[in-house]
Amino acid sequence: MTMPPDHARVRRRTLALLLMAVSTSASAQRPATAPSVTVREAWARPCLLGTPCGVYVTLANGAATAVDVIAVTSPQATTVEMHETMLHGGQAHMMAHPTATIPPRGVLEGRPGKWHLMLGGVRRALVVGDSIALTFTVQHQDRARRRERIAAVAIVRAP
Amino acid sequence: MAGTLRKWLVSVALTGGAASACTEPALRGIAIDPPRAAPALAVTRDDGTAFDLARERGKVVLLFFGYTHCPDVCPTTLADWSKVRRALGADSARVRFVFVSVDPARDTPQLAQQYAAQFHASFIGLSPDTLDLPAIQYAFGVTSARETGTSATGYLVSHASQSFLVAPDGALRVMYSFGARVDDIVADVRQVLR
Repeated sequence: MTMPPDHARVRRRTLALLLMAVSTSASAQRPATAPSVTVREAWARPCLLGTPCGVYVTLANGAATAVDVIAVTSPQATTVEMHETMLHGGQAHMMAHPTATIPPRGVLEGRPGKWHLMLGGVRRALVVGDSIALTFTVQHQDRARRRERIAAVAIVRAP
Repeated sequence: MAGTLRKWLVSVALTGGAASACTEPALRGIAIDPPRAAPALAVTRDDGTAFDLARERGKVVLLFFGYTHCPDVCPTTLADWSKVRRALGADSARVRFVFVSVDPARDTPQLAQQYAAQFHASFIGLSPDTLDLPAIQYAFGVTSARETGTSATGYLVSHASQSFLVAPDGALRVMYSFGARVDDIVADVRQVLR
């Protein structure tokens, strides 16, 4: 059975409107489900098997409340610790932190001489071009204490 | 009279500074003034040969005291040296980049050398004997201390974050704070090589 041209046009338009509505509804929901924490930069230096590896990650928080990074894991390492380098009178100390806070609509910047990740028990030496998979577990400092998991990939850069 | 004296002092200070700037540009790192003879540093390398700082006359030696289990300050310093080496071009053949471990309990001479060589094949990694290390550190005015219980990956070591420049005449001339600009180190190396 063939439809008159006008009917076909109306049907196509209805279908397009329906698709648009579904798409609009999906995008309207996206802000609520999309992670509020994003990875801005993630890189590492080459490192030998048997020695800890430093990884620098910058995380941005798009939420209006602060977010705590409460755990970091990697399938390529036994442990991932959050560390901060402190310089006192020219002496370098490292301090392990169980958590780190990303301020509301702010960033937690990983950079040399400051906040960084220390990977222990890395399963093989890391060389330039290798990638390191990381998963951050973050918890919002809001009433719901909502948790999110953020995936990141750090690339090993040339020194 | 007092006014004339003041003017003369100001004039001497200004012209003196200008004259000094004309003859030799100021070093950009922390100048060791007056320079002093670099302390002895003789360590057996991973291949059994000896590294002796006293035999490096005619070359610039950059020295850093760290440890291979350091994930931040040490690799950052050596990565900066890697940039210094690149920026120096042909002049880098007259520079030695020497990493000295302050953690001989974990850092074998082989590991220290492997660690340094990650940053460039020409870099030298040394791990002094445990008994010799305190005297070496004392002579260079650097310290280190084991910090236990801070890491799941074993102990950490607090250590001096500065690096040193030994001039071709064997004098300890410059010290660099952690994070010193690569351009500044390059300029100083070029100046003392002249």
